[in-house]
Amino acid sequence: MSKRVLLIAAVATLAALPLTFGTFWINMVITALIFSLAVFSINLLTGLTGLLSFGQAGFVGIGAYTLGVLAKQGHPPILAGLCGVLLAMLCGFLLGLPAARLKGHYLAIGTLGFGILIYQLLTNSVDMTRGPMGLVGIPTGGVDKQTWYIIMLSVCLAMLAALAYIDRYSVLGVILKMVRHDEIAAQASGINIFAVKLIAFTVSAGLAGLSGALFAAYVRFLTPDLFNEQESFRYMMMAVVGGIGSPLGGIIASLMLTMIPEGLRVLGEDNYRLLVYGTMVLFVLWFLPSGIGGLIERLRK
Amino acid sequence: MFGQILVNGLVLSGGYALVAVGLTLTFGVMRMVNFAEGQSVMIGAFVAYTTVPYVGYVGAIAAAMAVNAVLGIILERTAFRPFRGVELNGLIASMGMSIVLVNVAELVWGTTPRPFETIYNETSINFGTVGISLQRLICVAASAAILLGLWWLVQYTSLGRKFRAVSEDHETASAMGIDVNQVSRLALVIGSMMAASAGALAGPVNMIAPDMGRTEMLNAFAAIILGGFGNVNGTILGALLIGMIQSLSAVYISNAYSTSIAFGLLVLTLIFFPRGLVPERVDENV
Amino acid sequence: MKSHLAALAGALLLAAPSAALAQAGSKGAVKVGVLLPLTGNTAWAGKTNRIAAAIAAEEVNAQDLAGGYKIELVFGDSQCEPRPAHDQAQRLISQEKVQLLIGEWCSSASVAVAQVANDERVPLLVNISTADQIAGDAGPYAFQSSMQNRYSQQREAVLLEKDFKFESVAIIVENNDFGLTFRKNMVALMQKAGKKVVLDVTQDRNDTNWYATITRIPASKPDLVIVSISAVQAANFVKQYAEAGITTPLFSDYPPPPRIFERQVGTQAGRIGLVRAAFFVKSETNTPAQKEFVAKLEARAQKELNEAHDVTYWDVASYDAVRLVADAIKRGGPQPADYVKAMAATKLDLVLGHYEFDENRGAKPDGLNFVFIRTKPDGSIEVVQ
Repeated sequence: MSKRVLLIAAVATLAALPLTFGTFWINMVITALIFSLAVFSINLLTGLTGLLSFGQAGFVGIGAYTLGVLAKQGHPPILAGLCGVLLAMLCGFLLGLPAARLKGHYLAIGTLGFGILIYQLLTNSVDMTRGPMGLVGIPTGGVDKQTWYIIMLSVCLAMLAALAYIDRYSVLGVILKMVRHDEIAAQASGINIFAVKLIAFTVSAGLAGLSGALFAAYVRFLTPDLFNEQESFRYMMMAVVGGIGSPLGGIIASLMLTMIPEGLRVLGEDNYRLLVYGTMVLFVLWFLPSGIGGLIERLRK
Repeated sequence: MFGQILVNGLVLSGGYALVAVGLTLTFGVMRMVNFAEGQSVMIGAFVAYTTVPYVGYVGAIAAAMAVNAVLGIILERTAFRPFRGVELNGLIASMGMSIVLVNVAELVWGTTPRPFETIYNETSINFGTVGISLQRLICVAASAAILLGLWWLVQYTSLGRKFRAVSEDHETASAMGIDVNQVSRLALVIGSMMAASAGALAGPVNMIAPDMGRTEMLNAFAAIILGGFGNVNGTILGALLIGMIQSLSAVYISNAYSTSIAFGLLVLTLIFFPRGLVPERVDENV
Repeated sequence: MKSHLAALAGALLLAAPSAALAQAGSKGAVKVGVLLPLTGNTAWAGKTNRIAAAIAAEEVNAQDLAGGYKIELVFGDSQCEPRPAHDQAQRLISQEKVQLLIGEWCSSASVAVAQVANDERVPLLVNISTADQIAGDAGPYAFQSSMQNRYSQQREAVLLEKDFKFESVAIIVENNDFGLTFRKNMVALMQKAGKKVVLDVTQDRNDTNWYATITRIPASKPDLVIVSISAVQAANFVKQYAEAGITTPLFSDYPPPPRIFERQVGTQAGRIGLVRAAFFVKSETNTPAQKEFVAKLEARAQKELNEAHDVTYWDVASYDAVRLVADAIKRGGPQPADYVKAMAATKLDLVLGHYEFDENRGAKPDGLNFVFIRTKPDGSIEVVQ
């Protein structure tokens, strides 16, 4: 069976899934797919370019709140979403300016600080975002869950394809990977490291912003707590469990880490299910050092 | 008021320093950030709280350190040693351990915030307009003592030399006969013990609850950045700076952005000093 | 003939109560979803709220207070956070097929639940969150039975003006929903009353270090300090306030739960002479309905959680919520359109007081319990006014 046929069959099955799942699980899948875009942003930034970021939730929040605030003011949601992505990209660019000079863990903590700053800004700018009072009733209703599922599936597959292309076939991918592996050699080859990192920050911020805008459009309410540093850690966790360089692993990890805590509710409403969840993450890391993506690669061969 | 601000800053710094130094030791030796450190502080606080009625306050601190020493060994085996070379995975593994620890604490102690009462909370010492409760004074004094001990350990003992050797280059250190695994284990043990002392000392200042570990770490991170990862002296200095900056900015700038201000200044510092104020001596091999 | 009639009458009389009992549940069961923080850092409050709700459901079913319907509670653990609350609301509606919802505790979670409830057209009763206009903003399916922040703050302002002599005031709040509205309302009220606001501090709610703020108090020399800080943080604040040896009178918004708070920082609060608002406190001035509820809940909590529990407002609100739901079902049935109409027309006396809803589906505050309490030096509570 040729790979192409398999691929088409897989996509068709995925598209037909809503017919078998109940509404609740569809909801979980949709939110998991939305967050997998944030994971993709990490795949691009950390997996491909080797830049650590613990502040992605900030960009997600920017995308989300831009859509929320503008849509509530009466602007068309798609336009508001676009503004969200652009604003996130702008902030990514601004963060990249100082951050591109940082290395390793300094970069990680620096981006963490940026994420916290965005979170506190969102909380305290009560006049614009309503802060802790929350934004309710974002006017993007009227789209049912099956349609949302198809939308998210399409977006994620498109991003997967785009990232795979960048990774395997494009010059940009080569350049990004060179910067990750050996900055000095890259520089010696005439590559402007600073510009490359800036591009990586900007694009990945845009991806995260897209995730946020879609989230706001889907759940239709927002509070700043949705974008604190714990969320950034969560995206990181999903990215690493999925395999830091593997967007496909990223989607699977996002689905797993969203749905498994729910499925574990059979263990009761106590803390045990979260205990099991934490242990599972550890198990994946112990036995699959390249994450789920690595497992997929091995199975392929 | 200024004097009081300074005293407040000092108390903050003491707490941050204890946690940050533990983190920096772990990082230096294992090149991984221990995301479970905040939970070590929390466990230390709870163990001390539980044992105080039986062994008194000093005994409780010792008990907390003992339990955390074991915790350190467990952390080393589960979240760090398996990931040498894949440091990002180790970081995430410590996140997983963090989740496990919080939920264990919730199961054992419940989520109701508890008052960790010691007799020292009640007395206050006043120097003119500057007041400090005895408990907080003990915090500062004990932190200083412990940090001094650690500094002496790192500078002058053979163990300290091993730490520094492994921090600089663990392959060469291993080739020279140093048991890197043992040194790593000890780093984590000492780091956890220091976190325990931070929890036991600062616990009585506020309520203790299983979720108290989250914010502890953020400020410690800031301290490490300023002081340089792996650099004990620098970290202590960094903690001092962060504590003072927070204390001053809360009064003169804003309380609602307290964490942002600390991190904002951090990012600013990093712009001019991308390797921290006290850069580690890492040579880049071309 | 007469004996036959008598026998018939007797038989009918005997049959009547069992006929009434047979009525309970005869129209079927109504599933009501209840969202509470059962794990996470507010679980200490949520766990007993669950017991209170369960007690209410049992009573409703035993005494047929829902017009022939049986109430079946289905609990969801929303952890006081928006994302879990959103997911749990979805789960209760689509998987558990609940027809009605009650919840949640934290306002950010309530916002999430209200959005879901409105989208899915499932009537929701917000029973604990006091953020302003949650029901009003969310849409026609959401009701709010808790007293909203602006109403409680109005009452607090009245007390302040009446009982406290002050010309200058320091306002210290946390940046959450009640803190921020408290600050806005109080600043306006103080200015209108001609009092000077000498210190105005908003602190990040994740920051447990109040020393910096407390340092500024003696420097600005207020006659009175008023605060709005959440339950746990308030304990931190009061502890540090007492330790700093500040003698300025302190007044607090309602969040610190009576008795639980005293068990944490009773001595310190007593030393300061803390006065605060509260929706409910167990005392001899309780109504018979309140005393009965307290007894029931404490016994159950002791049995199920194996710890002595002090009844909180949140427990009462959880109990009352189930009773309100049952009453609306009795008058209108569980179908959303009729239920919503019936709920809007509610006129009911329950543990916390008299419940009626205004045109924005928020509870009218006048009939609801609201007291002021002072902590005495020995850590006990006395009800002021």
